Amino acid sequence: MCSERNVCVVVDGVRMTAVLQQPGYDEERLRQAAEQLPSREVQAGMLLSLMGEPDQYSYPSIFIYGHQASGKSYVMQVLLRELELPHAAVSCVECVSAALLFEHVLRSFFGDDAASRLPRSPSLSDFVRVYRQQCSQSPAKQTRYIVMEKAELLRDADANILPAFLRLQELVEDNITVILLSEIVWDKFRPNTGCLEPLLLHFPDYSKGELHQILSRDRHPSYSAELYSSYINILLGVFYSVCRDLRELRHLAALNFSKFCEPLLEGRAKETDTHKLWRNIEPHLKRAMQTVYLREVSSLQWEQMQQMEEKECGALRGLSAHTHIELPYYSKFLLIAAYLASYNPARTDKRFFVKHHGKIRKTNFLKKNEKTSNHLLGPKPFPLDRLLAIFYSVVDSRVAPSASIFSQISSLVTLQLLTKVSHDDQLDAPKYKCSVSMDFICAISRTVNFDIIKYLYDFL
Amino acid sequence: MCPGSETLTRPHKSALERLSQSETRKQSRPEVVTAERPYFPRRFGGRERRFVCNPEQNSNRVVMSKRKVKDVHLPVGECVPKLQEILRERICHQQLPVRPEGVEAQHKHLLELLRRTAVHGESNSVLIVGPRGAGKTMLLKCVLRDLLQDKEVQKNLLQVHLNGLLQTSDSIALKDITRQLHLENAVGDKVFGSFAENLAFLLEALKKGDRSSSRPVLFVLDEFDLFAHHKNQTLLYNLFDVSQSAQAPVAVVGLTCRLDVLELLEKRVKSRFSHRQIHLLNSPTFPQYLERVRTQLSLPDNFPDERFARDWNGSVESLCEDKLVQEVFQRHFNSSKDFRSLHLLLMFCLSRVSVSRATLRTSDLLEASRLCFTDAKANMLHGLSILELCLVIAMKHLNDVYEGEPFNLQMVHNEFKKFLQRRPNSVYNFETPIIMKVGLKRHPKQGPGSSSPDPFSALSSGLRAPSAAGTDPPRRRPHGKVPEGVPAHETDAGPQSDHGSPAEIPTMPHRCQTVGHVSVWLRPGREIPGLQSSPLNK
Repeated sequence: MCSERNVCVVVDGVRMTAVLQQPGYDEERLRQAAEQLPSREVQAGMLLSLMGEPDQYSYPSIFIYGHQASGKSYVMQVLLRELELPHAAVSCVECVSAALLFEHVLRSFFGDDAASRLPRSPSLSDFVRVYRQQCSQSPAKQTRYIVMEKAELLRDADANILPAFLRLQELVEDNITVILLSEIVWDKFRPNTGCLEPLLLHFPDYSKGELHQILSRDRHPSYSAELYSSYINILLGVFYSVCRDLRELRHLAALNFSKFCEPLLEGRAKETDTHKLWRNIEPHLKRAMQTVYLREVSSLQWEQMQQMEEKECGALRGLSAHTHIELPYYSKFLLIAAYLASYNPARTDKRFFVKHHGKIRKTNFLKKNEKTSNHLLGPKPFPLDRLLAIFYSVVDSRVAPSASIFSQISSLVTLQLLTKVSHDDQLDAPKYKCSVSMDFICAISRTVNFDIIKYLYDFL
Repeated sequence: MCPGSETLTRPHKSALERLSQSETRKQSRPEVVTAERPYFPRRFGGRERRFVCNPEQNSNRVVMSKRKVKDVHLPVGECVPKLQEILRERICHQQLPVRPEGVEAQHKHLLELLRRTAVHGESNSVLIVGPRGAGKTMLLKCVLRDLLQDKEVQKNLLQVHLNGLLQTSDSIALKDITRQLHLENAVGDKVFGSFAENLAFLLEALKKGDRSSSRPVLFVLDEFDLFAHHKNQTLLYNLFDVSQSAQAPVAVVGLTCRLDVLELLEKRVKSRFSHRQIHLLNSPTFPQYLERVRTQLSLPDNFPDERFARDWNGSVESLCEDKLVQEVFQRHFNSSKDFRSLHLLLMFCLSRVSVSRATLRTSDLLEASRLCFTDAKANMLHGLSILELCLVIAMKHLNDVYEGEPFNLQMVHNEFKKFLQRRPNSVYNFETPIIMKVGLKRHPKQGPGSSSPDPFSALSSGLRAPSAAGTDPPRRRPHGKVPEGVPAHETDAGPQSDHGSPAEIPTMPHRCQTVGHVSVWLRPGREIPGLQSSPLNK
């Protein structure tokens, strides 16, 4: 989250050409704000003109939507901070209860004293009352702003919070504007009986050029701007089709830059050899594609891990790896039976497992063919009886339903090859799901010479 | 750089000085005030909200400005902020109009009703019903304003304003009633047996010492329908009960946007209600609508700079005559007749008026209309990367195939893979975890950056409650420990030689849970980048 905030930390010599203009604000401050908002001038200007001069009334509520990392909260924050307007910035993630929200708003506007006037577990009514009291003591000279980030969470709060905040200006009779920021469109917010409609503003995503401009700002001090800019160019060329999220791109840029500079440090290339640098970094970026968005390991770590794996178990990879698990003979059949029960519809059991199942017309049997394969839908739960019935029919010899069979089922559950679905108190008819993959079960069935594919409805 | 910057603060200051001068001068000649019509001061009441509080001063100032400011020409840098201030107050702050337009009959009816309570001590209950933005609150406020002009009423009538959004339970409502009637001291630490007793005590306490009659109380219940959801509807029952029996003169006015509000009331509550309803359903005709635009935008006669006001009003007039503009308004009129949505449009227009462009132009209105009518979903689709778009199209395709049946991410991924097989070079082939994460990122409920780094557990926690995922969560290996680059079908497939004991084998029943429905509609004419290169739909 903070990565977005320091867009402004490194300011290259280029001054913004577009300057925000709005009467009623200090020009120097406006210029400073504009400097911190690269390629968001249009949106900032629009917001400013809607806000009007500080002492004029503003619209009761403004709803700003746009994708992640499109600068919604950043623009709001810079404007309100630089222009020194009275505001309360609330993140709805933090406000798990309404009380925290009220407290935060009151504290930002009127100080700790006001917040302490709220009773324990305050209702909205208490909040409005305290606000009005405080407001009559220190009336607003300027429009007050409440900025609520991640406003979609307000929908999960009490039903009256969102409609009330939208018309807060009317309720507290103060010059106050509530600004909601969200990644979700307004249509998904509207309560059943409607509410005061806010002004809707859209923050479009950054274009490729704008991304380039912003990313180029945080260059490494020891390398030239041109080098970094060409690096960003390469990065965007690779990742732009997958990821337009500034935050994610910035993360990727930071991760891979050291790799990019390697030939420079080793003296194999000069800064001007763009082609050489490109050839060096390209395979790394390609591999980094595999970890985009996941964030758990850097691409370098990931490469190392891959190399390790190849060394250690290179021969074992693929299907043969799965035979490594040693199961008792009947357990293997139990697992196969469970797999069949999970992925075949119950009505097809007769067709597969009864020897003289009479006449079943093939057309009729396949007519109900669902469009989805069961393998996409995932395993379905089945009762113990069905598992045992299938088990007896697939296993070659006659097996008595002894305690050893049942204990093998429960040990399969312990191994997490089966999952128990029903509740623990259901002793007489427990339900299970098979939780192994197709490859795994194929390998298992191969060891007992059982052709499982023939028994699967999906592959008929 | 900004030309108006020097004059930013000055206009207000100078206006202030002028006004204070006029006020001081006026105070020596109070007789002028009496000549004013009673409506007059209110008419400009909202204009200078900061220094005008009581009507007396207000009317002074009006007379003065009429006389003195006749030929004053302010620079544009002062006029425009003034203009903004006046119009913003009208549009954003819902300033009361001089008299309610189009609802004269209802106004008269309500005024008469409340006057009977206030003057003759007659109890009443009434509901004002109308869609949002129809002017229910405005009507009530206008009536109250007119009612309170009567000195006798002003002295006598007590008001209690409750809002269904604020008073979410009857006990909170009662506390607020006590507070608004200023009876906290009278109640003190008394303990009441029931709600009715408490309310009766409050009303009793309002009885005047010298007369046997109580002071009339006006209860205004905003968002009336929400009060009907309170437990046993105690508050409504008691209020209506008081208004039926001759305990104390009480008028109950409810405002609601639900036409079927009476259905919400319990039988015992309904039978105590007077069944008097005022409907605000009359919809304006287009000429009336346009007239409203004109009155909302035009400047009052007492604007400091007459020439500017005349120019501005002229420009508004000519704007309303413009064919193109009328088309825009017609379009808005057709989609919604209520004035709130009109205010949205006008607010966007107004925000484009600045010192350097001191008139309203057709282009402003067109731009504002464009902003009002933008298609939010198309806007959001525009910002998706190609991979994400591909997934959205896959979902759309699945939605068509299964006719709205739920589907899961696995199916989406499968659809995507099919597409890749058909056109191998169009999009990079991504691993399953990435697809899962991208798919989840866009799920509205499970927002990005949620606490769980594990895409699968996010699936099971945020989305439809899975039948099996909850069965064995503690055993599941936290996904973060798995090297992420290893494709999921391998990590999840089963035990591998190098990952320890069998107890660590992850179960993956939740991988195939339902993700949800997707409703996507693409507008044919709109160009979305990446769309033409990757259509999954044939």
